[in-house]
Amino acid sequence: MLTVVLKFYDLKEVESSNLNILIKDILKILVSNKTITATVCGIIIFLNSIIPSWVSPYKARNRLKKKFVERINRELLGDNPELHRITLFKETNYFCAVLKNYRNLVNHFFYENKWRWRLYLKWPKGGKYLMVNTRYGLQYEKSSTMFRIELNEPKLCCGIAGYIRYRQTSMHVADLPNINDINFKSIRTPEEVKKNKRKDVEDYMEGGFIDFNSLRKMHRKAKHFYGTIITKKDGSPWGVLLVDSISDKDPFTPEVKKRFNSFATSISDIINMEV
Amino acid sequence: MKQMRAISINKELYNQPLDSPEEIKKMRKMKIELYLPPSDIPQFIYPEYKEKEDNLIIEFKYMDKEKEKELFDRENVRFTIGEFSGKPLKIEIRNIKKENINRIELINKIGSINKLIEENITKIRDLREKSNLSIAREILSQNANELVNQVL
Repeated sequence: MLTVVLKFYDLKEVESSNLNILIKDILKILVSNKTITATVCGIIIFLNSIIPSWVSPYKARNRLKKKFVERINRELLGDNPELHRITLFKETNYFCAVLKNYRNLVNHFFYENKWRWRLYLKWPKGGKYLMVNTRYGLQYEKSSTMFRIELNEPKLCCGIAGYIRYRQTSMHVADLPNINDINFKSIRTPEEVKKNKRKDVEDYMEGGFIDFNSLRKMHRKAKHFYGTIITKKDGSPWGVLLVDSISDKDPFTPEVKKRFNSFATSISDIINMEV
Repeated sequence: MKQMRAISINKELYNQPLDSPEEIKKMRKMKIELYLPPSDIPQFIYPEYKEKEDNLIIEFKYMDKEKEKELFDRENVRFTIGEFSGKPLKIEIRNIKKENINRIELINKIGSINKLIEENITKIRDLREKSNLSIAREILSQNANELVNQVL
């Protein structure tokens, strides 16, 4: 930009050049405001050189988080990203949650399950939310999942991640009923679920701390979960690290849980490292 | 006073599921267990006697540095816990020399700290904080002799 302006430093030169009228007008404005143009160009060049050095440590940290969640799958769960999915949820404010909700609404017009867009019409309830920060697993890596953080009433917790955040502990949930074969497209209330499956859905909602509307939003209804709270340097909650599994057998043996804990500690360290 | 060193603790205490809260007890058919998170497991405990202040400080060392909050300050004992987790951070026992505390008295003192913790546990509703304090009590009981051996 600067080189173009310098070439036509003189207004007369701009006038006499064979350039397009629009370009000529732009150049005239730039040349008649030389000081401002030079200052803006200087700022752009300065920011261009400094911003990448600010951003790259954050990018490196995100790559590390991704690597560690991959390693949980590879080293603890037999490297089967289809069966086991590892998600790092981060706490976000209400404004982000509202934006995400309506972005999900728009996005679902372009997805396979278009019918889900209606589920995002409702204005989200106030408060902070847990959103997917890093995920490893073959299904729904770019997730629209978000869970509201409940601070006072356990019955109002949303999802297992939401309950872990409420209790601020680690949690193991095993053998929830398999309800993946139910198509929730035309089922709008629990009462509309076929009688032989209704009990399973109710049990899933109870053990998974999930209401019916949120259950309909979920693409994958895992059977087993293990997760823990992730904290900031000062001990306050940052988010939740959660593994969900659709395998028949509960994969979370005492040994897996113990080793998962050490990965969780490493992920906390990555999150809290100075950049 | 002897040279002090870190005391490693029995980490198996943290592999036990916590007492289930009411909402989980109701779900009889489900297998749902809660545990203390890895950030609440101390790496070791470290006793240190400060000659000048005549204080014995038992510090619980963790990977993170949580903000402190005082749980109680009674009978020459100040007990500090984490603001968010309620995990034990520091126990300060004052006037060790001034009161001529011997081995048996120090073991009794640690026993009395456990009673003070117990009193506070009954007032606490938060599951994580309650469980952290219960385990702190066990750690103190299990390591009382070792702590006293290092100090006196």
